[in-house]
Amino acid sequence: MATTFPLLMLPLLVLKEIFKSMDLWSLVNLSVCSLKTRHAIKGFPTNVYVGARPNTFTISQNAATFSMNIEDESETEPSTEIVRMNRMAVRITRKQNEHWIIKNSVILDGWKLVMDHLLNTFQVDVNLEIVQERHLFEYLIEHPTKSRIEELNVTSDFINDVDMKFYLENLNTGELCFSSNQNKTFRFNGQFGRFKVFTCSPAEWITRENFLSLDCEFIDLERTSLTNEDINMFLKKWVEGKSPELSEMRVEIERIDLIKIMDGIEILKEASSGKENNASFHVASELYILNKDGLKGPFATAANTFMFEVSSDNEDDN
Amino acid sequence: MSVEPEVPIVQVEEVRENPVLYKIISSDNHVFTISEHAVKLSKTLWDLITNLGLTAENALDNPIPVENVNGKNMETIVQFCERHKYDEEEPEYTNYIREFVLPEWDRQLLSIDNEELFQLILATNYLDIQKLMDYCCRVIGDMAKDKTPEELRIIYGIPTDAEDDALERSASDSPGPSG
Repeated sequence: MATTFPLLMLPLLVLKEIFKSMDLWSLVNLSVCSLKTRHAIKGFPTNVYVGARPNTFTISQNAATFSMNIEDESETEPSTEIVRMNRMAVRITRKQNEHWIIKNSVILDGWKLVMDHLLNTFQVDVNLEIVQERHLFEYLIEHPTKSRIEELNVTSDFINDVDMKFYLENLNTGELCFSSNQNKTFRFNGQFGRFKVFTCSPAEWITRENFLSLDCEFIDLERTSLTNEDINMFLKKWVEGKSPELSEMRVEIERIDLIKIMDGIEILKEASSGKENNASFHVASELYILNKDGLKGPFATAANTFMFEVSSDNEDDN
Repeated sequence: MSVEPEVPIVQVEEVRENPVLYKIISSDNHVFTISEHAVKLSKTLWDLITNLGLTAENALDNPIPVENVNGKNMETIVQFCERHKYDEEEPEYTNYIREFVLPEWDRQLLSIDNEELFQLILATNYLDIQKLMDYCCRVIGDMAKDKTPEELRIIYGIPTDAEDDALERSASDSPGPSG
């Protein structure tokens, strides 16, 4: 019989190199061997991306993907082996090497156990996709590892006002995406979290005050009750250099009136020509505005949507 | 620096194209000859050579003792370094370590017993030979491919949590130096 290779007796720097050479599936398998292996992997941060739904996890790193489903243990298919997560014996059914079904008597407990294991093993960026499971979001933001929530996706036919307010105030990283109907009377009077990307459809609840207080890199609002005047105020704010993070914005309103949107803002036009195969050709002129820091903001409209993008080329470059 | 006279000099590879040769003595007093290009793959050895001021003229008269590496491992290391001395630098992209294909010659060289592989990677770490480290890590990492946690426990000798706890308890129960 071959001798074992005493992996955990290697110097830490060597161990780190070995973990770097292992694929995702090997690392996941190794992490559930014992608390010591999990700690060892955690010692050398390995970035993974976790797509989490209420009963599914998709763990990916580069091109490799590992998935885990949580199932009630009373389901007919028997478990095939036992792995260790946080000192607990967890029954799993292995579908392929890269797909496990985790058996637990309570789905929520199973979800927390797996999420806790992942957060304590890897450097995790989470994309949480939920319907109404606010407790999962709360679990993540309260977890001591303070892992980054890359994206919170709420897809629901209806979100109650309390939950809606909670998401808006408490997501402080990444992207907040609502694709769900809210109570028509919902109003937000709090302070937005520090999320970088905000997409919302429908976004009828967003008031002028809400809109003007958004400080994101990317804003995409569909079916709003905002007006041309609201967009005008937002752009004036940008011109004054008060939305430094903004790189792109799309806002759908009932009826676009560019004259009202650009009221009091100087519009500049850039007519450019290009050359290809020694033949000159004309490129449609580009309309843009400038802010006090010299940043260009080209804009356009399509149907009822106003589109605005901050260009990194400042006027001096032209 | 004296060398036991009865110990044979191991010529791993005859080097014709490079006149500068160095001598290395392993912990068990085996003497190896290695070319300048090859020895440069070891950061530790090359730093030592530079610091000792060894030159083409005096290199062979001043063997370098390496007390942490035995003859068996040193032979493998010298073979490896001679084989790869003219290799181009590896590309520096994030997933290189996961994606490179281990050449067949090197796979053969590293097809050794786990205990020997363990000693070899320690020696490689000590001598700071990045390429050999990458190759050893690949071989050790590949042992985990398509294995279940239970199989990994056996392959890598990983104790269970209960065994770890028992070990810790017995370590804390045992009397210290003063006790």
